[in-house]
Amino acid sequence: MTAGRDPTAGSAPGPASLDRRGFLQVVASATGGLVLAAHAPWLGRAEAAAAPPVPPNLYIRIDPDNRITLTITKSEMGQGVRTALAMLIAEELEADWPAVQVETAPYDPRYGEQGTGGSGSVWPAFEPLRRTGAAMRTMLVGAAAARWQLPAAQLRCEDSHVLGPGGRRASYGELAADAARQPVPAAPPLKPRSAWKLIGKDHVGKDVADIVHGRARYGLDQRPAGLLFASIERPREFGATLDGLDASAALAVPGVRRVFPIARTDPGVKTFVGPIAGGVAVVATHTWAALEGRRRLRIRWKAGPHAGESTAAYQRDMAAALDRPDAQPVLRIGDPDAELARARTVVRAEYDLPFLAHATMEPMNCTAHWDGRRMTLWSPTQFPEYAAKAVAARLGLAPDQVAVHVPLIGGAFGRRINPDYSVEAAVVAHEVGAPVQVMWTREDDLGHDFYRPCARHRLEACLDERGQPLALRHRLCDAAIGAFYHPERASFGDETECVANAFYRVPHRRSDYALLRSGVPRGWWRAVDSTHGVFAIESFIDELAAAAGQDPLAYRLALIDQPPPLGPPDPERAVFSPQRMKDCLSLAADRAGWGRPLPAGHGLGLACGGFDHRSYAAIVVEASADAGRITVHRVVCAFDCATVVHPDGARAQVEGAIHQGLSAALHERITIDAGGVVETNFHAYPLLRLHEAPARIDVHFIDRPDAQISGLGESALPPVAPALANAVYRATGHRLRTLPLRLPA
Amino acid sequence: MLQLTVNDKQVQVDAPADMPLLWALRDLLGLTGTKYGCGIAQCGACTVHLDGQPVRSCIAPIGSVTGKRITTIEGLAAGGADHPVQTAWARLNVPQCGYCQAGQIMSAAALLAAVPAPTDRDIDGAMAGNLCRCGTYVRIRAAVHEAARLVAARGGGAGGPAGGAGGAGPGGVR
Repeated sequence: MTAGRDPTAGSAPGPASLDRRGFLQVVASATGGLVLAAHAPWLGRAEAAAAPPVPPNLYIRIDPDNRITLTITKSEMGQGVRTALAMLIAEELEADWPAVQVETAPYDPRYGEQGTGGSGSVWPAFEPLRRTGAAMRTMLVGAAAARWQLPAAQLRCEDSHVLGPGGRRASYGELAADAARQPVPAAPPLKPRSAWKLIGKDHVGKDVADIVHGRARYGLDQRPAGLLFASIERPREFGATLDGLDASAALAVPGVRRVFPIARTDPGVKTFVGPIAGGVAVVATHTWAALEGRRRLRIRWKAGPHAGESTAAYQRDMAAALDRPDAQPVLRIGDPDAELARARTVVRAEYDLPFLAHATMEPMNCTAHWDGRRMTLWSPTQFPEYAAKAVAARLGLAPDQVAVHVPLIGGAFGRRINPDYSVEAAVVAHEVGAPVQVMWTREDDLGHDFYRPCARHRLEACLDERGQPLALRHRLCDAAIGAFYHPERASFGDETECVANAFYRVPHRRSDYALLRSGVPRGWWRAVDSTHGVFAIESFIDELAAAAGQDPLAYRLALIDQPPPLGPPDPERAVFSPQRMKDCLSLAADRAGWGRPLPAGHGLGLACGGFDHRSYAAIVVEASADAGRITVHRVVCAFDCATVVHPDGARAQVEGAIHQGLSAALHERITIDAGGVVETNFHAYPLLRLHEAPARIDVHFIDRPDAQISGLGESALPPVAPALANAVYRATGHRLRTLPLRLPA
Repeated sequence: MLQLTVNDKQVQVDAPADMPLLWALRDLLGLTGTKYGCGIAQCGACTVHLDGQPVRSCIAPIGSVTGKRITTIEGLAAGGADHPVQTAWARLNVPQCGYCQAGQIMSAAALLAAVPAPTDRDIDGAMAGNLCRCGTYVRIRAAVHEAARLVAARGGGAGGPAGGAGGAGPGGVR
């Protein structure tokens, strides 16, 4: 287990500057080694005015036995962040790679914002972590130079040792105590790329050995002494409340200790306390007793304001909203209405997408202990900061009364940004006064997620004499994520981002937005809004190419030659590069054999996209359809995040995005009836299974040493569904515009 | 009090006979390597071996498994030597979050014990019951083939205590 101890063991001397915002400092180590502490702004969004002293949020410890331990504030949820961040440090430190260990720091409010998401862990660390490793190496060399009375220039480092002339050799561990007295270099130089030994090479992930031996400890594997187990019966209907409870049968189950209600927290509160459904907790000596007790609860629920909501009603509401004139204007360029009114032919399509569940393999859970003074959580969370703040707010505790340890996470995909399950566990532990693990069943997990919003996009276009789009009119109605948390907000037009701000050149265009009112909790599902926006625009561009009688690849390439109309959503972000997008398209098409003869009944489909305009991805899918069943044979991805730190880990991320994109495209749909979720378990909410996975996935990265490195956890996912739908069209002639994809009977 | 044989050790559990093996392993015996995923045998995360055969421990009552050899992920590397499936899994960096992988590995080990050189179709058939949300399926297929090569190179079945009863060839893998 890697969560845990405080890596510091003493007070720090004054910091040396690392760059304009970060710094390095030496911290005395109780073990006699060297602890270098850094404040790296990327680890917690540093306030621009963060005047020193800013506390460190990154620790590198060298112990006398030459072990090197990196303590990071990022959550590992399968994205390989522990391996990639360790590589950055180890590269410049010249560390013995197998001996580098990684620990996940517990929550500490001094770190600033502590969370993991938005494909934003590795790229902002790329330079600061290497500088930190270089600084530490410089100090170790300085210590050896002093010891051997030699100029530092005659020394070099390898595998956690400093080497000098005449066979001199000292381990980092031996030098650590002396190195701690060396000045911290402010701006140590970095190796040229050509000298990299670790970055750009493949390594076995830091957690793989533990995983394959069953030693890896996830949230559900936490076993503090005296642990009790709890399960919570929540109302099926969103917004329902407890109206009557008979716990006698539950309490009669051997092992059941306590049964008590938990009050709900409504969404829409000002701070990020996070809504919880409320319900009835059953606490027992083991999970099975808790589940058995829960089955015997007799509960009466009182219907709430969303009892009448259903998918069928949402469908009607969205259809009506797309026809109403009062949508919120998002983009106006030229006069698309006039152009469409006088066009001889208008291509028109609507794309329909359902609510989606995250369905992480490890269901939500949290282990909590209230000792009468302090709340300790072991929470598999992406945002320990939110968990701590939400728990403190709910229980009326001071922030420093809440500790959050972050174990390994069995999948997250955005679900574990929300602190609801941490709050529940804390409430139960507070009531019980003993360590308690609250485990969600799969039914709980599918029924009380924060879902990817359902959405309907309408697109209308007319073409010019060359077949290129002259005018594009777009309208989106969806259950905006932000409207769930901030119903008071008036504008949710940013939901249209991927279509309103699409990078295809169209002289006349407009986008409008209409909100679908819904009580269904919404959240951030891997790649967020782009999962529906890219499906709409990439399907529609394909339809326009077909209407123009042109090749979908050539059609796209001819329309990508300028930045998107609204610019980047955040001025600090890189500006869209048309050439990089086109290079991805061309590479993916080339490697997929675009234009080659295909087996009968097969089709190739293409789509591209970029999450927040930082990374670029193009996907080509080869698929066929037989007897109403879609088979995916091969997926090719070209991906540009400028620099890949860990190629095999990066490939795994893209492969994962492709699998998850196929799963959503082929299977996934959350249905609402009577204000609650219909699908209860994997038989009703099927995920992609191994026999449905493509025979082959090829991932090609485009290396751009001069461009700003960017993230890769999400960008490959949105183009998967439209590429598949476009492939099905080529294979069958059927245009499928509703997800999950269903061939007509 | 029920007596179970888990990873070649005799253990006693004080629990009702209808308790699924999964909870006895995790909550009473401290063997947390076997995972809960669905509770209804839909995801395979809880796969263990009973006398070498893969079963979903979330629906196997402990009263039905007394007298059988139960092998969990913790017991797969017999005598300290990794099972070829574990070796292949690490070599190909199969896991992402890793939560489903104990079940994947136990299913793959059982497959290799029964079919030492499986085809893609064999793998699809044997592994379709194990869900992975991170998207490691393509690597799992490759890793099963890799494990089969390791078994062949070592000249024996995918043995260990788990594989023997599955009909694999003579001898374990040491």
